[in-house]
Amino acid sequence: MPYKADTEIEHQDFAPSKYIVSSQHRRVGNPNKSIWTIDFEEEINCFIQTITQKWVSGVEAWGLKLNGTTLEVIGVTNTKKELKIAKFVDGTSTNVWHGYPADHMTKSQDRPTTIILKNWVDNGYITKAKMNKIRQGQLCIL
Amino acid sequence: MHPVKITLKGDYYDCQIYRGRLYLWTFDGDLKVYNWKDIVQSFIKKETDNIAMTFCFLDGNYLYKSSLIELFKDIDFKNLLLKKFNAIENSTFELSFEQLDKFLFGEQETPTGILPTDTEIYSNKLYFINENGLFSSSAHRAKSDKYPVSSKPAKLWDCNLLSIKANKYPQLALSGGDEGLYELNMASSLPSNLKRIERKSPIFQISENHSSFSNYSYLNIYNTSLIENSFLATFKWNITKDKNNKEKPLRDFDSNIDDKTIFNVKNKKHFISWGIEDKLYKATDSGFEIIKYNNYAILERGEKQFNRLKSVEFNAWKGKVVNGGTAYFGNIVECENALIVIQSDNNTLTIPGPITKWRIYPRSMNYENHLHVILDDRIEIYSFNHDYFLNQEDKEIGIQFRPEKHRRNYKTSYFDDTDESFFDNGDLPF
Repeated sequence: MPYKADTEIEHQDFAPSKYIVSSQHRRVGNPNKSIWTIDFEEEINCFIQTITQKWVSGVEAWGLKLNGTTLEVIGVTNTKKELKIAKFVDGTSTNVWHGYPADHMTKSQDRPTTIILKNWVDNGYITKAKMNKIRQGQLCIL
Repeated sequence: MHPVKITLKGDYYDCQIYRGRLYLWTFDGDLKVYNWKDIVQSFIKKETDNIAMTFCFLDGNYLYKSSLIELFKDIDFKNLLLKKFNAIENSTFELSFEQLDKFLFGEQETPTGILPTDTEIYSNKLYFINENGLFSSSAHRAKSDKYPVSSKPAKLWDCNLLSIKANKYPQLALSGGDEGLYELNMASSLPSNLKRIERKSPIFQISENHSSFSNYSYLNIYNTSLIENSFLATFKWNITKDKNNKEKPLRDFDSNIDDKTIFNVKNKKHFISWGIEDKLYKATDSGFEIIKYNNYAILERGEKQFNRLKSVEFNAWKGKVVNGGTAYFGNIVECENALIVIQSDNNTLTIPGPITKWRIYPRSMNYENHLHVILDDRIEIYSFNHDYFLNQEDKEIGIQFRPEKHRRNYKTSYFDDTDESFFDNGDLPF
């Protein structure tokens, strides 16, 4: 199913929430925004997994693109640094979400919550050592 | 001389040691508090090992006593003590998670129910941070209390911090990533030229610049940023008068000295640096270099504040430097694949990763020779005992020990784990 950017998307796997693929995180050249390197459908699948797995904390949520238990690259920073964690935000608290690749080392607010990170450790997606490094904003190659 | 090691099996996430108790946060979210003295004494099988084990794990400060340092200048006395340490350094001291139970002082769910991002214990209070902010809970409570740490922590600030670090004095440096560098200042006199950002808690903003972690260097704070320039935030005493016209010294902010000035770097390339007390460190592609910081330099006389001491190289497999710290016994450098201890006697210890967390306690009163390393399935508690025998003024690696900084009452026996009378002084952080 083809998806369109900047349009509210409804989907049975995340209903009643809606999702917007933000074009802000698809354009190259915005110095403040990370950009997705996965396509629209993969971005939405990442959000579906986040909702299904309940990796949600209030109006924020975090996601991964998994190949087995290995994390795949989902985007890059404006300096081309590879990113493997997605952050989703319900910015207006209206259950309409959008997402972007999270730069957990540079931006404090991009760090997933402890409970979500612990869930990822328990599932074997990251190690306990990496969880601590993410929480402390340290260099951590996922 | 090799360190002596105690291994405690279990799945841990954080640790602290304070006044004879070992605090272990399990990855399941419990806080378990153990009688540390009893754990150590359980390993002493021979009376002849008692002295060495006590100095190793219970009283790491005692051997810095100036009269003992004089004694160690006599090679016979020195060799006698070294022989004691050598006798235990190859022993295996290990307890399973189940065996630890008999040393349990108390246990509880970690306060707030969220594993802490960072912790400090200071003046009988546990300070901790998580995504909901900075909290404090009373700690070192009586056995009769329901929990060893209060289960109802006070929320001091709602900032989502990266790390915290306690000073010797009642201050806590707060690193907030892109939020900047702050300080919780619990001293009786507060700075006059810093912005207080919380009405209920004495929290002051020191810099808006990025802060990954920070540590105290004399009055100052060395701010490490893993993504932007690091800097030394300097403070000075500003003597004012109180309402009774008595002198009231205020520790006021002075200036920030950037890392490129400190390390004499001309290019714009980012590098990792850190500092504590008299030494500042810069990570290089293959190791690190050391700068001696002279806080008392008189610039008008041509004295330099920053003097390069030496460089240390690592093997490439250990990876890039990601974190660093310094104790009296040496430098601790965390690389991508290992934790490396460059001892003040120039020997090196490598602990292969993955390392969950490591802690040193250079500002404690009994545990400044400890290194605690949390690995996947255990915590390793190392005791380093070479530094007592070194000339502190000449050593290039590790913090220089200055006896005048440690106002310890030596009337107590070294067999006492802790001189409890010290904790009556409310201004001491320990």
